[in-house]
Parts: sequence; C-alpha cells; structure tokens
Amino acid sequence: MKVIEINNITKKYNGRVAVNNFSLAAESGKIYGFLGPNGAGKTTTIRMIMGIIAPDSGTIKVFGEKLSEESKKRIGYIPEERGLYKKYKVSDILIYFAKLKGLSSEEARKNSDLWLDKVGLKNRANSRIEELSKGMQQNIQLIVALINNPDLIILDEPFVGLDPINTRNMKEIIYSLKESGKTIIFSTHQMNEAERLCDHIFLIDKGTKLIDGTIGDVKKKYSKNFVSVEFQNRMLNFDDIDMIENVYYDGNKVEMELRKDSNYNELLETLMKRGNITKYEISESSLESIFVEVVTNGV
Amino acid sequence: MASKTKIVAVTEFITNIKRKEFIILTFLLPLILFMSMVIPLLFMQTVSHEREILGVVDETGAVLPILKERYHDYNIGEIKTAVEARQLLENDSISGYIVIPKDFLKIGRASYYSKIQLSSLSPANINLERILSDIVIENLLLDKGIPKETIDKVKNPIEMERITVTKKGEEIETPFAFFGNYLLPLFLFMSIMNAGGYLLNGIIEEKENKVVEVLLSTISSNELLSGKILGLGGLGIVQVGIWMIGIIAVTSLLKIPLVSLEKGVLMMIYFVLGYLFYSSIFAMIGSISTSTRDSQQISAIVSFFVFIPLLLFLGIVQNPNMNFIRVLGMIPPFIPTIMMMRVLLSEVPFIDIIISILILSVALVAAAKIASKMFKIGILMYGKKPSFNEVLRWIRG
Repeated sequence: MKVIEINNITKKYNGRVAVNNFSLAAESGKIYGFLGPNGAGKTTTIRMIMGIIAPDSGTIKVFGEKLSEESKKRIGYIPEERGLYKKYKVSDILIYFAKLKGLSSEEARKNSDLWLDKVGLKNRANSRIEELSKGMQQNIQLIVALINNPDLIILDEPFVGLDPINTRNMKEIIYSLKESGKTIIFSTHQMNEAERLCDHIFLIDKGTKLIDGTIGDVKKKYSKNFVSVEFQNRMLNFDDIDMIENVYYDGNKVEMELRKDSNYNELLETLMKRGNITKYEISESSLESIFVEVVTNGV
Repeated sequence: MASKTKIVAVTEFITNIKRKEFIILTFLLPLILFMSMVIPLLFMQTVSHEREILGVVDETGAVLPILKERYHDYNIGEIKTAVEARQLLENDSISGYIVIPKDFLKIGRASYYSKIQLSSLSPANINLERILSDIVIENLLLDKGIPKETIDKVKNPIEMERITVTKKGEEIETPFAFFGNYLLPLFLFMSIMNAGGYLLNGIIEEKENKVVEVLLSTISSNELLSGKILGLGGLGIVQVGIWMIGIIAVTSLLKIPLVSLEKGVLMMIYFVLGYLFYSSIFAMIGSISTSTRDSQQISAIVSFFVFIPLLLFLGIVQNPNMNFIRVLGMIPPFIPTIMMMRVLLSEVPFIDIIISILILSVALVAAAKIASKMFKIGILMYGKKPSFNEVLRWIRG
C-alpha cells in the first residue's frame, strides 16, 4: 500500500498557478526528498497533503484513503513556518499537542518524558520555551511532530536555521526513523543533504514536477560525465575528439563534458597522444548541478 | 463538544486564568472603582471646620443666637463690627465672616467674606444657607400670625416615596439605588472586551510565534476558533461570577436591594450573546492583523464604537424607554450595552427584549460564519496585511 498517493492536484491563488497537475507516490520505509527552488510549490503541496488547504482539483490519499481525523493522527509534521508558544512550559506544550493528537493525559505525559529524555532535555521540562536555545527549541518542535509515534513524517525545510551539530542530529533522527520503518518526506534547498539522505527525490519548479525517481536513476538519467585534465603545457582545441561535448578552459586545466556512453580509458589514450598529462580525474554531476541544469534549462 | 475543541478550551481557560492581567482586572479594578467612589464620600464627611471660627456680625441681634443653636459646621464667633471682622480675617484669626444687615429678616440678603472661595455645593455652605433661609421664613410667617405647625410644614413641604411598579403589578419601594447596580453593565462589558482582547492577542501570538500551522495539522481552524471562544467565554463567566459575589456581598451588607433574579438572568443572556458576537469580531480582527500593533489599532476603533452607548448613560438613566434609545438598542453592536442598561433601569417592553435578542442572535451567527471564513485563511497569512478586496474574497469563499 502506498503511504501517499497524489493524483493530478492543481492549486491556484488568485488565478496564479501554485501547483499544476502534480502527482507523486510514496512507499513506506523510505526517505523522500522534495526539491525545488523558492516559490516552486513545495510548501503548498505539503499543506495540501496535511489538509491545511484544499486542492482545486485532483485527489490526495494518505494510507490508502482520503485524509481523515484518524489518518491525520498517523502523520508527524514540521511546517516551514514553525514556532511554539514562547511563554508556555516545555512539558505543557508537549502534553497539549499530544492530547490534540489523540493521546490520553497519561500517555501524553509518559511520551513527553520519554522524548525529552531521548534528546537530553529532561531537566528543561519546566523551562519556558523562550528560555531555551534555538537548537533546543528545534528539538522540542521535532518532539511535537513525533510524540504520538506517527508512521509518516513530513518535514518542510528541516535543516533551515540549524547549526552543523543540530543538522547532524536531525539527519541521525531521520535515519533512525527510516530504520524503524517510517516514511519520511522532507523538502529542502540543501542538495548535498538530499543526496546523502534520500532514497527517492521529486523535483518541482513553477508548480510542475520535473524529476521523479531514485537518486541512482536520476543520476543515471541526468548526470553528465565530466573529466578534468591537467596538461604540462597549455593545450587548445579538442574539437576533433567526438567523445567531447563541451570544453571549459582554465589555464593548463581543461574541464571536458563528455557525450553519453563515452569511454574514459579511450579518451585518456587519445589525450595522452596530445601532450603530457599531469592529472586526469573523472567526476559525475552532483544533484546540485542536475538541479541547476534542470531548473535553468528544463528537462 | 468535540474533544479537540474541549482540549483547546480547557487549555485557553487554564492558561489565561493564571495571567497576572486577569487577576489584576478581576480583583483590583472593581476595588479601585469602588474606592474611587467611596473615598471622596468619606473625605467629604471627614472635612471638618469644627476648629475653625466663622465670624458673625449680626446687626439684627436675632439671628446670632439661632445660628449658634443650629449651625455646627463652624464655631460661631460674635464680632461687633464689619471692620473688626475684616481685620480678624486678614490676621487669619477667623476663616470667614458673615455680615447680617438690619433688614435681613425682611429682605433676606447677607454677605459672606472669606479668603478661600466657598463652594456653593459644600455641606457647610448648604447647611448655612438652609438655616438662614429657615430663619427668614419663620420670621416672615410669624409676623403674619401663622401657627408654628404650618411654618414647619412650609419649611419641609413634601415627602416623596419612590415606588416602582413591576410587570406583575407589584409595588416595590425603591430607596436610593445602589450605584453598584449602575456599574453592572459596565463591568459585564469590561469582561466581554477583556476576554475578546485575550482572544485577539492569542490569535496574534500564534501568528507571530508561527505555531498556527503546527496546530492546523492536528485540528481544524473551526475547532481551534471555537475552542478559544469557549475557553475564554468560561473565563469571562468566572470573572463576572466573582464580581457578582462581590456585589451581592456589598448589597446585603448595606441592606440595599439587588437587581431581581429575572433581570439578572436577562442581563446574563445579553452578556453571553454579546460576548459571542464580539469574540467573532475580535477573531476577524485577529485574522487580518499581522502584528500586535496592527490589531491594537483596529480594536481601538471597535472599542470606540462599543463605548458610545456608555456615553449615553445619563440619557438612558433619565428615560430608558425613549424611542431613540429603543432604536439604538436594536443595532447589533449596541444591543448588549444598551439593553443591559435598559433592563437594569426600567421595565423594558417584552417585545423589545424579544426583538433585540433575535437581532443579536442573527447578527451573531452571521458574524461567526464570516469570522470562521476569515480565520481559516487569515491565520496562515504571515507578514502581509490583506487588502479589503482580498478579505471580501475570503468571505465569499
């Protein structure tokens, strides 16, 4: 069973299309990256999944059915615009949200203690939110999303505003959630994090989905083969070599973009005949360069 | 009540009842109001001139003994001449002096001299004028051979009983009405505005702290708004309850009749409907405001309209059933205040009560529907204030 199944949703604001005929499917136990530039429609899509706003057309199914009060309880959500009541005590906030998510007072208290212990904030249960550091507040926000042990976790820009230590903690938590069989969808601008964490990515721009696939598939499809070569002397003109699509010169260094299915060894042999090579390095496109390429030039 | 609405209501109630502002308003404000009325009264009574001397230059020879007998606000000092009296006043030996000319008993004209301007409303002056006027009346009538009993009657010709006839035809003697009763509508209205203010601040706080979206992922905007309104309404009822206990305690202590149960119930109906109506208005303000400053500006304008009826208080006291007041009491934002005052001060025609409650109920349902639509969209607007046209689009939905 698909955890999320979105079919052809469209959402317009005052005639402007925010999300256009968008579809996606997510399975359990995987991490999905939802990528796209600012204003691409990521947050709007996430808000539609969460039932905060309704699509103009199309359908959204969560756990195989239309979003209901029951299925909402199985989702943990950290929105992009997030915050907590500054004057409330930590434990009061956690218990309040846990009860709203359907836990009994006793379960709410138990889970709140459990999670605070897990993130090392047990001694801050009676502190007011405003007395906590930003990193601690982010942790409380995360506990709010996870306190009722949801099966699907949706994180909108979870790494924004986090220092390197908290970024690492967040990644560890995302991994551990995956290991326990949860489905995680997160939106981000940080391509390197997406590349390291995700099993599968969706790339959206101007409301339209451009890429949908596993990291391996995406790289295979969109990656361009680059070779970086350094010669002892400055070399020019490689037009006669068929394998090379584009050449970028930088002193004695030459960046070559190869045509698909080109053979690196064959190229090396050809180049060795031209001059003395001091360095020969094969590199493939990062997710970031694929992102920039696809968003700038289309699929 | 849906369980999520209940959780929000209980949390709002518990959080706000612990607020310092709530405790101060509930306990301190009525005390301050009460003291601000009682202290001047006590002060007036304790202002004494007993140790001061009022000089009397009595050229008639008949007034001074009567003044000495009847006037006790000042010590009376006999002075022979006006010149001597002036000197004593300048030396501050006396507080003032009164010259009673020879023909005073016929013409009734006397002169009062003092360094401090004497207020004509001060009890010392009122007593003095009354005693002097009695002396002139007694003298003039005695000269005509009128019997003493008649003269006494002339001095106090009437005695008025104040009786209110209730709807049931009962006659109730109404001595001086307790001013606390007059304050009741003001207190009830303060409670409405206070709870409405908490609702507004709560919505703005959730927007500013960006906690709204986390909330909306677990609860619908309608459940959230109704939870808030119910929780804060409970707070208002507790507040009014505390004030009522205070008023009942004071009235029973002073043996002053309290408003009848029937009137009390009617006022509570207007209170509850008024609260629900105004909380919808405050929810609308919260939905379109992006910051506390924004909301304060808009709610200041609303409060101004709300307090207009209170400015008409004196007019309403004099004639609670005049047509202008009756019409004003049918306009939704004014209904709660005007009707509370009318119910308190008079026997309001039954039809007025039914019509005003109906109008207020319809207005309340409409306001709540609009508020819920505006709240649903407005609560997710951060940083950008919507235009009037945008708000209209939200409402048309």
